[in-house]
Amino acid sequence: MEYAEFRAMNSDILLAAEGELDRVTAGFSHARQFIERSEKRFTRFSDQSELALLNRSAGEWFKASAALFEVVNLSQGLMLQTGGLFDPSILPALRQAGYDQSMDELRKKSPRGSREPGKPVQQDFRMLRLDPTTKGIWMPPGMQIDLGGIAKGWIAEQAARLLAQYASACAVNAGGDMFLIGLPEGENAWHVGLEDPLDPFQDLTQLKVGPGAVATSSTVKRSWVQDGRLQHHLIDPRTGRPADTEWLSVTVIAPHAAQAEVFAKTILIAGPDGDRFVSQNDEEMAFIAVDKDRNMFVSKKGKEVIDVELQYA
Amino acid sequence: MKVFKHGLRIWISAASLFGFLVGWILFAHSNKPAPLFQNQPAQNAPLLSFNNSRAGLSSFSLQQQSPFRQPRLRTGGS
Repeated sequence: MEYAEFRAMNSDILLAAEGELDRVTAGFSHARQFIERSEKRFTRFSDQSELALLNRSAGEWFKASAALFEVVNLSQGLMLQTGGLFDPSILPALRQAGYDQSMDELRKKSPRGSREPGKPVQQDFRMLRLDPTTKGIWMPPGMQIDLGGIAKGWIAEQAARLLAQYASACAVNAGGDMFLIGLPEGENAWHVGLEDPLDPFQDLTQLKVGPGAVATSSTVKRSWVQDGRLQHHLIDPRTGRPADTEWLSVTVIAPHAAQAEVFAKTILIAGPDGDRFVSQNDEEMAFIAVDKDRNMFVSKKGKEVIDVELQYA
Repeated sequence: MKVFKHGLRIWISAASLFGFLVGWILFAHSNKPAPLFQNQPAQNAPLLSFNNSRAGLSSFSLQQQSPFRQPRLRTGGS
């Protein structure tokens, strides 16, 4: 297995691939270029990104690239599946909570000054209209969207599919959102460490997963202090504030990376009630939630992927 | 005949020495073999023990450990 590591999308990126060295090296280069190009397209921290142009075009039709159109289309579908707990139009609330710069910049400047408390999301993302023929997107006036997490998952999956053209098996891990193709030689699963949310240098356990996606959402990783309170980037659309949840992190295993990312976020925001989202899709999804005492709550299918012998009391 | 024997001994000695040196040089410049046992960091993943269950979920707390084998793919949130 060959590896390449670099930083993009404010995350550590790991590419892993098996195959002939020359081809794998070319695949790494191709995948990296794709990731860096996509970051420029989807970032909300640059006025020149396509996402920023879309946000400035609210109230009129915007002709999007195929990539942006696909992610916005996916977002709308997943918003409906999650009953609105995933909602890209929380961007104003996210800024209100203090997340108005990239996390790398924000960490240098904590703690933040006082701001108005958040309000429930005012805009209805279902009002957004899509025209597949022209790749046109229309957002109601005033709507601002953030595609950070879902775009990262989508980019990881697309990059893995590119890399797979050069490798017999490969993985792309974008800051915990990963997509796995094939299996390492002689193995019947990929082994993925589940990071302890309270100690990032330790793993709580290992997951044994097949080809597909793994994504984790955490209230700990992207957090900052504002008004003396710890804030995090997972906004609950019902309140417009960082979600007040029992879980510290939720990991979802699913067929697609964008889907895994969105459901991890949704279950984390919903707390213990979040398992209803996975129950509906139990055959294709599994989740593992970790609470503040490091207890792990595992969905029925999740037990199959934990590399341990369960010990019952 | 005596001269021939003497010459043969010298030729065998020289050829042996030359072969030894060539072999030495070849091995010295070849790749080192992989060690039989690699000194891997003791990063061990804990086992889980069952605590309680609620609404179809199972709860676990940490107990013991098992070794890592695969690439260090980790997921911890973004």
